[in-house]
Amino acid sequence: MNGRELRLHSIRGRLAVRVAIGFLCNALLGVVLSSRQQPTSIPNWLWIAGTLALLNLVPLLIVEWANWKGAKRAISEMWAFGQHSLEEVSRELAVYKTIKVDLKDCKPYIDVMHEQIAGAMSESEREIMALIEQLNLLSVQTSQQMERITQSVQGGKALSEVTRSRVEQNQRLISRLEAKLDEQAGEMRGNYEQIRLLADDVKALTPIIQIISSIAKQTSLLALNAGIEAARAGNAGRGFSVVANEVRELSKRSTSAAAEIGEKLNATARKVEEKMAEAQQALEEKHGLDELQQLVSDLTEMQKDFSHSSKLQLEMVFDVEAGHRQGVSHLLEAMGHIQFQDVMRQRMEHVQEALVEMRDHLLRLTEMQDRPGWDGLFDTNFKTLQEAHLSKYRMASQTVTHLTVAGGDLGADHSRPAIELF
Amino acid sequence: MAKTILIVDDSVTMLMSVKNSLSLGGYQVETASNGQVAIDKLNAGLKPNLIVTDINMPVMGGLEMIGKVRALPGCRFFPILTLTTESEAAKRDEGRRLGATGWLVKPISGDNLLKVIKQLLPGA
Repeated sequence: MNGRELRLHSIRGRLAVRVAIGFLCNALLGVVLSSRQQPTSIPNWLWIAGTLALLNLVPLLIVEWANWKGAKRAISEMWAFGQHSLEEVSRELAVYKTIKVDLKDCKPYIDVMHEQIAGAMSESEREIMALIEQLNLLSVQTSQQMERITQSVQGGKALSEVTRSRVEQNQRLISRLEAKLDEQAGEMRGNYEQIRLLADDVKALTPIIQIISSIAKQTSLLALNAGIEAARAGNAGRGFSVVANEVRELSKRSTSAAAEIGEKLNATARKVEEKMAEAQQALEEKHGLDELQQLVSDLTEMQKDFSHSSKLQLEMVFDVEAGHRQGVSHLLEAMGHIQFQDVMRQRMEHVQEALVEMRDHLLRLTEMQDRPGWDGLFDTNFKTLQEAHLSKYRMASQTVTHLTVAGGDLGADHSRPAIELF
Repeated sequence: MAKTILIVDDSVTMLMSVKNSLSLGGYQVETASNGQVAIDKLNAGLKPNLIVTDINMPVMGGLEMIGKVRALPGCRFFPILTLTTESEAAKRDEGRRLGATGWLVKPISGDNLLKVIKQLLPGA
């Protein structure tokens, strides 16, 4: 109980005492009046009125006189309380008027907030649309890039197949060429060996010619000696002289034949040497054949490298394709995240509806306040309005937010699976 | 030939987002801003292989549209997916009763949307 209420209680107590005294006095007056029944010269009405006045006045005067100090103090307190109450009422009236005016001003305030939200949503949607346009361009480019990559993959596969086929074909050709080259080299080595043997044979004939020539010379000398001996023998050696002449002629012819054979052998030797030179040259050209074989080997390596490069290129194209598909996946994710705009729009639209509802409720309250004789009762209040929102929510997140702030059963599962196929 | 999907949503951002996702998936995409526009397109001869529709739309909502689409000749069996923020079980059950094939809750990633659609349109 505050000070003001204590003072009021005290004043009320004193007044109650006075009322009780008044009642006692009136009761005494009643007794006196009932005991007075004899006639008198004074009119009864006057007697009664005077008696009543006196009897009522006297005790009251006595009481008030006896308590005039307390009454004075009580009246002072009542006066002070009245003044205080008047100030309180004035202040509350001022507050009430201020609130009433302020409540009426809630309309432009809430309307501004409503439009601010609408503007923010509009800007957000415009920017999101711009973002979607960009993503759309990216999407188109991505599709085109995907087509190019698909073509590259197909081209790469075809190229790889052609390369593999061509490499195999070239490999077969190279193998045949190598075999031919080996065969040719073998023939050349065989030819050179035969010529070398021939040259050796020819060289081996030279001493035989010398032997023949030497034999021819010795035969000639022998024939000369035989002729001398035949001349010395006279007629007996005449026949022998003929033989000796024949032998000398034979020797001359043998020498001549040996010389001729020697020349022919020399000629043959020169030809053999020429052939040897040619064979040597051919063998030297075999060195060029080795270079050719080296070239073939390098070509084979190059083809292998080319085949490997082709494979790597194809793998690279596959990697690009995989990377591109991953990019497309990210793009699809981004497209999904953009849908938050629609989710946010719906939530903000609900907030806008709530703002309008709040504005209308406050305006109705101010109207009711102005209505004469309003008893203070109203069909709706913020509590009922707030509770009604629970049935209006579309998203589980809205319900959860509401229950988290306003209190409620959060234990229940308010969410639904994101994907349900029936 | 690419299969055709009709997207029905009053949100332009949703239409663009889902359209781009499905285009990336190789589908031909048609759009409608509400159920009535979708019905008009179907009556005009559009033959989609699948419909993706929002639920809460002006003029004609998704549930009403599903019921009317299923009553159209030749539109009884192709899949109709809802894509909505609506999580109320009663509406989902009503959608199922009216002939919806599935209930998808926004937001959904393009990958997941394509997976569901490929499941419903094999060979696409």
